Amino acid sequence: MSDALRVVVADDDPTPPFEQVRAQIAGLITAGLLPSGARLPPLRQLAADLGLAVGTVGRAYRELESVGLVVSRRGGGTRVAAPAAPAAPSRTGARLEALASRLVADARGLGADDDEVVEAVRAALTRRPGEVDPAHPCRAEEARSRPSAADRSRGLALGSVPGAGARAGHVVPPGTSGREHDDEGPDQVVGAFVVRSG
Amino acid sequence: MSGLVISLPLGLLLAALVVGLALRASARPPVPAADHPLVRTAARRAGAARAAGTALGVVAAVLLASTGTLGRGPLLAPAALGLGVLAGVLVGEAVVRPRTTGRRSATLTTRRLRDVVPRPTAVLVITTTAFLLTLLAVTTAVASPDDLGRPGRSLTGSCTSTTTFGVGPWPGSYYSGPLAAAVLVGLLAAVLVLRRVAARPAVGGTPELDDADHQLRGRAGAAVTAAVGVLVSASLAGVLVFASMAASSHDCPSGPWQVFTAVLLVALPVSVAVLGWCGAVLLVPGGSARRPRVPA
Repeated sequence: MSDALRVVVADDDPTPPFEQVRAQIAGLITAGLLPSGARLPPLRQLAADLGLAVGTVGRAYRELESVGLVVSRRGGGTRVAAPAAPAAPSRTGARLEALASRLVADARGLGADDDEVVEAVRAALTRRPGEVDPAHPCRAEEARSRPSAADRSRGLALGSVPGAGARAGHVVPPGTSGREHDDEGPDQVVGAFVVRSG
Repeated sequence: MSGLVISLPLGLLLAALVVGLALRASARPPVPAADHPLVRTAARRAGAARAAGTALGVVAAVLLASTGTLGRGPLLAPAALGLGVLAGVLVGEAVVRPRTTGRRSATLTTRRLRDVVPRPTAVLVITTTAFLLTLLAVTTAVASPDDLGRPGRSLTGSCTSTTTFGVGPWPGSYYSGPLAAAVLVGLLAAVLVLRRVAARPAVGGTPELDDADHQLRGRAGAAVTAAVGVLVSASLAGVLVFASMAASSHDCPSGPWQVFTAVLLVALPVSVAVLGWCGAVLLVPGGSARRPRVPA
């Protein structure tokens, strides 16, 4: 670690001192300037140099630890944590993708085009589980008595996907988060599209 | 013999001190940014506190040397001097206050205790300490009670199967116990003061004053190491004078005691030279704290 790596605290900054310390150390870690395993100075040393209370620096260290950027060990000081392994796809996400692929395959087998599939998914998302499809009440009745191919696969309907919500979804291209449009509701991956609820 | 044992070391001490002071004064780097008010204040306060601590230690050592029973006082006097210096360094470091207003910065490197200790002097002091404690263990093991029954005050042995000797005073447990305790107290105090030197707030809290801060820490660390060196080497010299005078005063013509006495007489000037060097470092503490490396 270079001696040039420093933390600055300014009184005229409205940000609380612990947040100034936390943000700067977090920035140095994520930028790779503080390598994995690098030891951070003891709380008392950093607090003394910055003219802060030990508890203030301690809070910054705790927050860094809570997000996994540093690891504190009794007697071993505080060190930069090893970078986390790439997150494995969640089990729910993997199952959802498998269901979507099955749905698309079955729908194409019925002769439906992509727009019809997306429209059907949208319509399903607007219905609560067990709600009768007003456009096709008989089909809904039939569905209750005879599960569809997609339902047969795992007994699930996309309308009951956790977090899918009851409002109409919209589709954003893959690779974009869609967060600039909406901060409500999580993404759900369906085939080649990302369906956003709300 | 006894005159030589005392006068030769004193001359050697004076020579070592003069040479040490000349070397230290010529090689002492100036404090960077010495004109900066914060640096000037910190340097002045630390120097004044060290001088006051040294003066206090000298007074305590003189008082102690004039008291104590059967030479215990003079033997513990170096410890009083060393502890006085350590107290002065501690006060000098404690008066460095952190900036609590405005814009200030701190390095993210960890300052360690070993970064503020001058390595060559520390090796010298550690070696001397090990020799002193080993010698005390030996002299304690072979000591006997004196003629009044006080344990660990004399040396008795046999030259041949028919002749024995008993000489004293000898640095047995009567002296070695208190001395070893004083040395251990001094070492413990030195570690605590060095920790304070490493952990105290940085002078100024700006990158421009980093070099000055390292320099001041290095001076304090050198003073602490030298204080321990004075404590240990002066105690060792005292023990060697005691032991060599006793060991050379019996009438055994040859044998292991002669070898032992020769070792003591060789070690005595070495310990005095170490004392002179540590005294010079104490009077002119230079150098700079090492900058920590990239942590593993």
